[in-house]
Amino acid sequence: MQQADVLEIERKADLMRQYICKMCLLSNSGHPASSLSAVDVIAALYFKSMQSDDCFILSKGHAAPALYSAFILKNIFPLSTLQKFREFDSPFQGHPDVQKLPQVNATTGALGQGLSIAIGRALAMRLKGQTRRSYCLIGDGESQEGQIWEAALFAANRRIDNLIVFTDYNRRQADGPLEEVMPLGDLQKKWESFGWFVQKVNGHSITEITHAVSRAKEILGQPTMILASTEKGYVSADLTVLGGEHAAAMTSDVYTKVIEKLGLADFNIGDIC
Amino acid sequence: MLNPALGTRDYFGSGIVELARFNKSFVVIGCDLGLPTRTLEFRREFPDRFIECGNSEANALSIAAGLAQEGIKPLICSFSHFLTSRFLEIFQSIGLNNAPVVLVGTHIGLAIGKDGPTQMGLRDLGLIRLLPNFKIIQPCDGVETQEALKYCLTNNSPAYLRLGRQPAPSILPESYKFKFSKMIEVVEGRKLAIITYGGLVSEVLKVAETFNNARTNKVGVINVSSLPYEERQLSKILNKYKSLLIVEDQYYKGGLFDEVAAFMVKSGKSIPVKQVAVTDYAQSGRPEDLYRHYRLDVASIKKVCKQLLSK
Repeated sequence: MQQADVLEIERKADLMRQYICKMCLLSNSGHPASSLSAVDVIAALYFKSMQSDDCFILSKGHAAPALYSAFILKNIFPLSTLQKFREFDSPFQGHPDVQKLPQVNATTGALGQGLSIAIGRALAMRLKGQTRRSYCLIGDGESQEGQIWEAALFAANRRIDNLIVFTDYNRRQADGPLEEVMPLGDLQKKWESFGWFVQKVNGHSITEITHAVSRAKEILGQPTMILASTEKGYVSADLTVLGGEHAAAMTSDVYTKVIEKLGLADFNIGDIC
Repeated sequence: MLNPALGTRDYFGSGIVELARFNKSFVVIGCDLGLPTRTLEFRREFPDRFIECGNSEANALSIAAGLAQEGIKPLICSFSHFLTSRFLEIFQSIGLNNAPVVLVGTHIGLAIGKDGPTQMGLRDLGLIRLLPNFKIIQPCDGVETQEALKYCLTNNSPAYLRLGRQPAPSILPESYKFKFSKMIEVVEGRKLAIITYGGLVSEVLKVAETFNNARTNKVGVINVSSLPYEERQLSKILNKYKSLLIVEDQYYKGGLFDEVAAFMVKSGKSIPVKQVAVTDYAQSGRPEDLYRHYRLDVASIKKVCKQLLSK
């Protein structure tokens, strides 16, 4: 990939960071830190790696602001929709709701289910003789759900190779550090032992993420897992906000710090409506 | 010709094979219960359309949702008890997604007998009734099962097909056409209506026979094979009959009695009503012993009818 393309995606990822912070600030709720950790994977998929008819499912639905931000940048919704996040009748529900927003592809929120839905999608594509792909992003805390491992077993045994899954490996969950709450052990070995092709990447490097997806597309006969090492609340290499807390609230001070670091200007929603 | 020894699950098993020959739009998902859910023949004839998930019902339910979202109709089969125990997946992956999946739950009620309450579908109806976009279908015999199956394949919302293990003698005429949300007055009566569904319809018909004669039918029998049903039909029944008996092969909470009682309160149309249903977690035993214990056998139901008719 050209350096200019990487820079363009990074610029979009930075705008997504701003939008995430802005919508969580306006709604005074949401999971900004969890959304910030997923930004670069979603940006790489939506602005580079995925084809328009591929299917992406955000299994860790609480990172919805990251997905909504990508939709704004893809002009599916105007920027003013930010202020509707978590509001009544909004397309930007607290967690992705396919009835309100078909582009999210699946309603998620209760953890553990999105991967199986993505497998169902991949299976259907195969049954229909299509060459489309199914993508999914799961959380590391989510990987404590039993259903994730039911799905892991199934996808490998059925050799579902049009399925590319990311783990947002930020090592934090609602009750604290993952290592204290419920360690996952060696995730790479676990997925490999289930029969998956596994890659490890820096989950905040657009280059590494897109490269891993290109490699995953070449793998035949196996589903692929990309373990994306991330930080909860990641803004840039030298700034992480909200203490990596799962549901820490966004504040004006944090928002200002984030946009200053990213060199972005604030905007008033009223001005753009 | 329908075989009286077959249960509704058997008609389902032969029905999917027959329909699959000309309807290519559906697949069957199995959860390691091919023989008891009667999906082995389908698997043999259509291996490419059979998706075995093993003992992982949660995964299977969400996979079904993904398939349905892509326009492939999945019929996911397991014991009703196991399938509905994964309620969060049914609620979110299928319900909230409004994915047109057909849950096929077999072994409803006490009829599995000796396997005991860890296998019996006694609370599945109560759970699925809670979900606003599910259509619940509980056929009483072979004809209704075949008709219900055709309906499920064309229906575009989540559905739950409840099937029984016990023999399902022929009740409805071969010309019968299933219409969702219709109550079926299998026997017209004038005093007492017995409302039931599934495998108990044939038992209740035996009860009604003992009270009815060529001159007059005291006891009517209503087969509730669809939920939700049209409330105006229940309203008509409440206007027509003097009392009701609701006979349920499930726990006494969460089923038809709750539906009917709630309507009576809302509508102000109240007549004397009694319920016969399973009053505790149940246990192992021969089906006939269990049905007798819970007063769901012909003799016990007759006794309750007499009480209601004497009022």
